[in-house]
Amino acid sequence: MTAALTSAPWNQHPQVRSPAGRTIDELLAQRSRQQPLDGFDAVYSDFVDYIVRCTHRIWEEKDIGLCRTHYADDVVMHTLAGPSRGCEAVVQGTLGALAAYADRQVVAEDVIWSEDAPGLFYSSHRITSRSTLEGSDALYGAANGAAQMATTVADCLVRDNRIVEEWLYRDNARAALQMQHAPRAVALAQAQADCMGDNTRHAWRQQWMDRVRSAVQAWPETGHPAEGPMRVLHAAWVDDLYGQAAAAVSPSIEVRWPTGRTGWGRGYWIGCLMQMRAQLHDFHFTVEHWAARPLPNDEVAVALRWAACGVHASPGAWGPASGREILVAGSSHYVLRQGRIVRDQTVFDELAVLRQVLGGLGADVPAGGER
Amino acid sequence: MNTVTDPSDPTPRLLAELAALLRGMPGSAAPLANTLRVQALGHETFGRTDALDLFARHPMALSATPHVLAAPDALAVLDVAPDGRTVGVFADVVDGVLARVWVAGPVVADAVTEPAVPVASDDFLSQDRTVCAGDAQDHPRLAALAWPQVQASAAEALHTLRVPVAASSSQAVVVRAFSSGAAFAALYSLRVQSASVPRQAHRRWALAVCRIGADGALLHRLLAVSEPWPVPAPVFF
Repeated sequence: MTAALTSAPWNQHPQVRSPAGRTIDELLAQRSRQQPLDGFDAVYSDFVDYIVRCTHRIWEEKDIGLCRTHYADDVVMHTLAGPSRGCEAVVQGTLGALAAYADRQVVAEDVIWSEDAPGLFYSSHRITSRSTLEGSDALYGAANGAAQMATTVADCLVRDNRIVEEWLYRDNARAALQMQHAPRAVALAQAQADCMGDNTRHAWRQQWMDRVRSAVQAWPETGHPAEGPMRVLHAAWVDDLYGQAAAAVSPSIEVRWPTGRTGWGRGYWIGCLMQMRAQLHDFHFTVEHWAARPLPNDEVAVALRWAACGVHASPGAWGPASGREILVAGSSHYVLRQGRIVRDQTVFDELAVLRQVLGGLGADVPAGGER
Repeated sequence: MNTVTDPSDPTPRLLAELAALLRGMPGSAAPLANTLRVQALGHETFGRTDALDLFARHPMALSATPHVLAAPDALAVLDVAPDGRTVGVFADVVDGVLARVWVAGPVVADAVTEPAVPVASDDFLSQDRTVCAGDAQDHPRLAALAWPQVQASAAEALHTLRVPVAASSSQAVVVRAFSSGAAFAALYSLRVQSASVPRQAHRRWALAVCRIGADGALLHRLLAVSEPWPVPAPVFF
């Protein structure tokens, strides 16, 4: 996991458009090749089309087997609940999700992409998926007709038509609430299961935190739109200068954070950032990847994939202080207008955070800690 | 206010499409964005399917002669409902397609806001008790001359609420604003604090459509303010 070594300008191929504001008919219309895509199937006109169309074909047309031509055999999919490995795990996971939620619509809100080396593409795909529990879900039980509308950001590293590595962040605490389950109860059951068996299976979490702690932040080249949001996040989460950070965002900023946090204005934006930071002592933060693309109406989209860790030593939104080390990894999608952030949509899996708070995923268990 | 007569102007088509959406009917001439987000009637929906479902359950009819103001990327409509209330509708437009819609108007009985983790928020940083949060810089299609009246209309939107509010703790955020000739439209998100203790806040939407003179003086103002939106149930982990 390293920062982008972008070899191509962020705004190359302006004819490759964001899905924002486009109709489903336009998104699915067949087009001729719009950008060089050596090694990609002929059906894809450009890289955004590859991401949107292959997602549509797999999830909405139900051709799950296409995963075998769109994922590398040894693909690693990172989530805050742990990695999964191999294309067949992707196939099986997709089958399971669609068996439970057959009507899942995966609406592409945006695809913010970069070409990090010749032929090596990176996409940050924000999806809000609507689905109904009409089958059986391993986590939420039998069919109850409850509907989910959770936002996911899937970051994919792609070469030759195949996703070779993926980082998947989903607003799972919101999904739990929509399924009429208490996130803490769900997380506690998961944490208790995590504490059984071989703990080495959770080693990925410690390794990830070690990388965050030792990371030396790389920065985009001067003039890259991602530089501003990165400096804003660093001012807030590294330097604790929230006022200075907020001065660089619009006073009308629209904020959408996990588990229903929705608000407007700098004060609310500070509140979201500070709420997380205040609970975690010895806090470390790094941006792992950045990308930017033009949006309609003279706006710019920026995607930052980030990770943070710290010791849960203060009480707050996640409950009483647990004393455990907590890893948070997520993605923030920003909209810039006139160079200033007017929208922040941040996604991380708060259910997996709670799971760590409650001792799961290999989190250390301190004396007197809640289990 | 504009009366659109130019046949090359997309506004009549967009207005017809918006009217069809509000009636819960999918249009044909200018289909809806796949990512259509609607904040109306006390509901927020995402995706064209849910938007149409919402308005199919709660259809809204525009009159034959609403006040309309348009820009290449926005459409603002102020109308009078059959019950005499002023209703405002604001739409983001992307390449001639309706991409996001707000309705400053009634809130229906089945309105529901998703639960949310409460966030402590200082809306008045540095004790700056400005009633209107915003910056003209963020609204490039707004004439600079109009900004003072955008701020004044925010104050008026809060002033017109016929409920006791804490004047020092209620605020309007300028969500969208644009000019068209001598007129402008501004969409606000209102955070309204009750005057009682313990404090309770709720959110409303407001739309102002105004005409100003060459000196920036207000000539005419139409204002729609929504009913209070449901307060999200707090999520405590």
